[in-house]
Amino acid sequence: MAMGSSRALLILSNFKFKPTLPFASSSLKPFPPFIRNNFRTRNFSAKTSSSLPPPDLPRLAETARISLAPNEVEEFAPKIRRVVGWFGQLQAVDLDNVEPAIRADTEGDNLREDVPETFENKEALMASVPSYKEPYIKVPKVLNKE
Amino acid sequence: MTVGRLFECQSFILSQFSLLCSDKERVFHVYDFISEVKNHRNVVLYCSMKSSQTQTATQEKQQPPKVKVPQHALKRTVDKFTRDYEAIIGIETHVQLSTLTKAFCSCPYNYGSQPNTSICPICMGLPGALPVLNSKMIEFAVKLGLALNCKLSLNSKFDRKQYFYPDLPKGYQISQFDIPIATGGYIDLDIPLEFGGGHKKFGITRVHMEEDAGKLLHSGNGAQVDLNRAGVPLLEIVSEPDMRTGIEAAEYAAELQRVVRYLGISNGNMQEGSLRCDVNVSIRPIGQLEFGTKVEIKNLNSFSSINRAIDFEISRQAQLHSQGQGDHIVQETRLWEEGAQKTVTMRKKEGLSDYRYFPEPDLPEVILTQEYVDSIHKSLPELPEMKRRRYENMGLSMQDVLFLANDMNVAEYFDATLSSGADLKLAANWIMGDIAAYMKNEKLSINEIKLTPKELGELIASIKGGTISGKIGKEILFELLAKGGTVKGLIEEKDLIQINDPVEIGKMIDKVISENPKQLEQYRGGKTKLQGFFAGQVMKLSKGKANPGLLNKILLEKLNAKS
Amino acid sequence: MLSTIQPPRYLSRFPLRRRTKCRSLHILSSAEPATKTSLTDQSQILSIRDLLLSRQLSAVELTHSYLDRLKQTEPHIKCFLHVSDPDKVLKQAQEIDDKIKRNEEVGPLAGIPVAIKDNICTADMPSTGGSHILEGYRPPFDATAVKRLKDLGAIVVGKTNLDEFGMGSTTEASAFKVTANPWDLSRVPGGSSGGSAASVSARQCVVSLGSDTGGSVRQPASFCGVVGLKPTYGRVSRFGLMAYASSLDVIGCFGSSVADTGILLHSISGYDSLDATSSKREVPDFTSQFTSASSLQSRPLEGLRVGLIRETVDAGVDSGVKSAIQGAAAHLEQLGCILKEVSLPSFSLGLPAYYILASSESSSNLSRYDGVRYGNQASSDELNALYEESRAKGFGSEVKMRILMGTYALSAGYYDAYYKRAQQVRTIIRKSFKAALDENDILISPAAPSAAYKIGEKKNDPLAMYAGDIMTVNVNLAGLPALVLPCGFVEGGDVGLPVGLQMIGAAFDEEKLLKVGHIFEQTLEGYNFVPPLISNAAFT
Repeated sequence: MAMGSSRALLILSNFKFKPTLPFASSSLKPFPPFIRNNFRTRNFSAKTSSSLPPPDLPRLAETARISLAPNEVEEFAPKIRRVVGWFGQLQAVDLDNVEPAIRADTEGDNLREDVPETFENKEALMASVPSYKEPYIKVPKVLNKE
Repeated sequence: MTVGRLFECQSFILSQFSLLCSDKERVFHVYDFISEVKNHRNVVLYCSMKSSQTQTATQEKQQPPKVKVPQHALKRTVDKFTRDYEAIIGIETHVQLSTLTKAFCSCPYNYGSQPNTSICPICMGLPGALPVLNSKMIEFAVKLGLALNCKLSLNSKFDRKQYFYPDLPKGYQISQFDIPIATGGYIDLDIPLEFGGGHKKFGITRVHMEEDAGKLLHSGNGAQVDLNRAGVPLLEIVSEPDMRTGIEAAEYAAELQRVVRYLGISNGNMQEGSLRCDVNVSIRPIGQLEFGTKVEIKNLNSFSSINRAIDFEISRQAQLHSQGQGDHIVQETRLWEEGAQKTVTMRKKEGLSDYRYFPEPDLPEVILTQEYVDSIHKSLPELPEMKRRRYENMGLSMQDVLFLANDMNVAEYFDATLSSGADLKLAANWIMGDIAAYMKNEKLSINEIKLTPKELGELIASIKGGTISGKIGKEILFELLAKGGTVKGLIEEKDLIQINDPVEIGKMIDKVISENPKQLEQYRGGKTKLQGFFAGQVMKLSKGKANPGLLNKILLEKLNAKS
Repeated sequence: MLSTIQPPRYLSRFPLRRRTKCRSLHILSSAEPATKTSLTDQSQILSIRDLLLSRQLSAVELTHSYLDRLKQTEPHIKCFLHVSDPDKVLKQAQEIDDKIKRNEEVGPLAGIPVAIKDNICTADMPSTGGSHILEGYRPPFDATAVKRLKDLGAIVVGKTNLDEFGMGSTTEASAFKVTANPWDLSRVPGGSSGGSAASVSARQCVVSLGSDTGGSVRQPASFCGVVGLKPTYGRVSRFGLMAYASSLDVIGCFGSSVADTGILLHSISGYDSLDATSSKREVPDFTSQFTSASSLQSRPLEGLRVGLIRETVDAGVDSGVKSAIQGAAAHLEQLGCILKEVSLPSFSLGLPAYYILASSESSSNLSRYDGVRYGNQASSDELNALYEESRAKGFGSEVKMRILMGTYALSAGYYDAYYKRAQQVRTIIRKSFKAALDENDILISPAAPSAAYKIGEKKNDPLAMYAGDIMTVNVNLAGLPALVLPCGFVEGGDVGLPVGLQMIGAAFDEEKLLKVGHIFEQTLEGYNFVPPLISNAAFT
């Protein structure tokens, strides 16, 4: 093992490791240079994110069934606008003739045989239901929302 | 594609119904597939459903107009307004597959089980649960796709259709969006003679796989969720807008029912909701090319309601048009009210819902090999259309053809009877006549009767060959239907063999004549009607076994001999 | 020179109770000097097994010592959202001891204390995903990975803290508590598997499970100075992992050594009929590749082609991190590797593509949390109000924002501009990695652009936080395996902060990563990756 030790020492002393120098700040600027897109870009700007309407927060919240407090709208709106604007950089990338990878690479056909199996722990399933009145899960009245 | 909306509407349906109908029985009857208002009704329905597969079909056959309605009044109003318009009708059908397990989990599904008992973490949408596709669902989809003459996508996928509703545990329905498993097919059918007859071909736009939602039952101030049905496999079949009348639409639905039953992929039962049709109706002045505003009609629980609802809707739209109020026809979903026999607005559409479809990442692509498709193709049974053409070519009338091919079990029974050597026409008559009547009275399906096709063939042959008389044949038919056994056995057991020996019959005639000298005198005096009396006496003496033709021939000879 | 970057062995602020049976200390103090001679010395799991089977140590003793340390360190680090009932845990340990006494077979993980990230379901134990909406929720089933660990004899000591549903890079987005970095309590442990990384770092357990959607195992491993492994997508069943972004999510492993991490991976890998995306590929015995340091040849990785991803040592990366990675690269060269710089021009596109896909999928995956079937339900007399209130109260800000952004990106008319384009970028990224891995056996990069930063530092700037994921998200987009192991330090805290080296391999080639990682670890000398808090100085 002694040999291994000295070898490691050698390695470590060989490269430009400068522990005595002041370390760089570990904090990052919001847009470090490598985030900027240096991929080949399209030559026209027509299809940029600006051509798409910005997020309509109240409508999105309604679609996603999340009620937002006024202070949340105030807090989220600029953040979401920034992030969505940042998403928009993909509009400038030339992706013609690129097939979308619609899912992770999965292998084979993982199908199931049509053989019934009963889940035994049903009591536990029902025990988690917040409003349960045997044998039903209860919900309040439904007003149509469209 | 609108299962989501379908269930959204159910809440409304039910709340409406509590207002509209005080008669709960009717509520149930109309809405049983959604509501199951009371448990004990489930049981009733379940029991009657046991034999429903053929029963429904048989009943419908009894009155071949599948859509038998008091038409006259309606017809007149329809005619009055509709003369100048053409209706464009398309149908979306959801077929619940009769797999043993759900689409994406191994829960067994049995219609009518206690609420929330056929569930597991997967169909309940628990955190961390994942779907795994039932291979049978693909098999059934391919079968239907082929049966509907579609082009199959060897490479299709599942997508998530997203909306919130309490009967949709995951907040999305796993469905197929832009690449359905089958597209571009057609269905052939024969319109019954009473509706003008004729052969029709309607286009099939697509067939896709998806999962069913649970059930939401409304009660008082809230609602109750039963997730037994959540995740049950469905095939959605979208037709081309090729139909023009309520009858055509109802016949399309009936043919789809036959096809899924022939394929054995669904019980096709409309009352249980195993086959659900939503129709789209628009009208346009005859000669106009562009389509009118499309109205969707839901809550159609029988073929006759499809027919009537469409005819009502055509009439309503035509009336608005002819009164210059065409703009009152708006894109909306309307409900068919069975009680009032009309459609009413359920929900106006303000722009299309955004379901935010995207590819389901939890499931691999659905990849079919050509070998697989070919092997399914080879395994397909003879389908209703092929059966009808075959029967037609054999020389049966269209009425007989439609009757016999309506139910695969009946058709198989018929085919088996023929292959035992029975005469075509006689076999058809026996099955459509006494056997069908017996099944109807006893509420049995053809598979439940004790008479085998072979024995029916035997019976027909025995009559035709003169072993037994037609009268005795009828008598033993009912015994065979109820108790089984063989024709030969019964004939022997009951000593029913027809007497065909002229000598023996002659002896009996001699005996009767000698015992009735007065009648003989009258006969010979010109009262020839008494021949019937003598024949009856001889038949009685023979215990019904004398060959009637022979008997009459010899009797006539003997009666006239000495005159 | 080395002494300046090596944490001094000074007394812990949390000295552990010295146990009477000294032999157990051997395995508890993993800060061994690098003079390991046999494989068991490089693996806590193997050495515990040795001690248990040779009856030098009982499972009860082992459990006690871990529970004791957990009890002492937990108030300061706050790794756990739920700690198992000690009585139950000790009972399980006792059962293992009984079996050993009766000379019965015990599983390869018998008695090993493991921690499980709280977005991985455990039966009859809370599983909240770090979210209020699941507060108090107890799943009726074990995740497949957990079930496999239990079947092999492991003992679950608790559920670890995380950013709510895995959405975050600091563990600050937990609904319940903020976990501290064992190296410097004022810093974040990274995230989202911050609790699992910190608990291994603080030796509160031997190994732990995390999940990695965009770097949630690798970045905290780097921040906490432990080994973290993100397996190939499909290698480990996701059944029971609360979905964040289904096409990217994987369950990953933490250990204090490459060997332990490999053993843990082996235990949970393999096809699962409950996950249609799990692979049917055979799982090799990863440990068979491990050789003890003493038997290593002088250049044990001779000819191995290593590509340093140029874009990851570009501007914007902390210079200390860069130095550590360059040092690690040099070390690999010394071991015989052929080092080359490779460029992945699409690398920077991975970040926006990842965030589009992840938010979109999360907006869908989190729809099930509606307060109807489980979890917290807001009281309401109308259904939509119930949904909107339950979700408003149940979800934290970051989760809400991602759901809203995902809802936006999937909306009709926007899908092609965002989701579909992101998928196309994903194709490009996959291809570029494939090409780079055809030319190289492994690729290397930092695991994060910086070492652990201060709690609160990036809390209010989502883009700054997202930028920290640049090193890791591409690997998830490509579905590849990656191993992160500590390779050096940067200045920070009292003794320096650990830096992790990321090694990326070809799909399903975890074996190679573990082999290389193991040799790297065995030969990297002069570093001590046990935080001072629990350094073995405490025992002497």
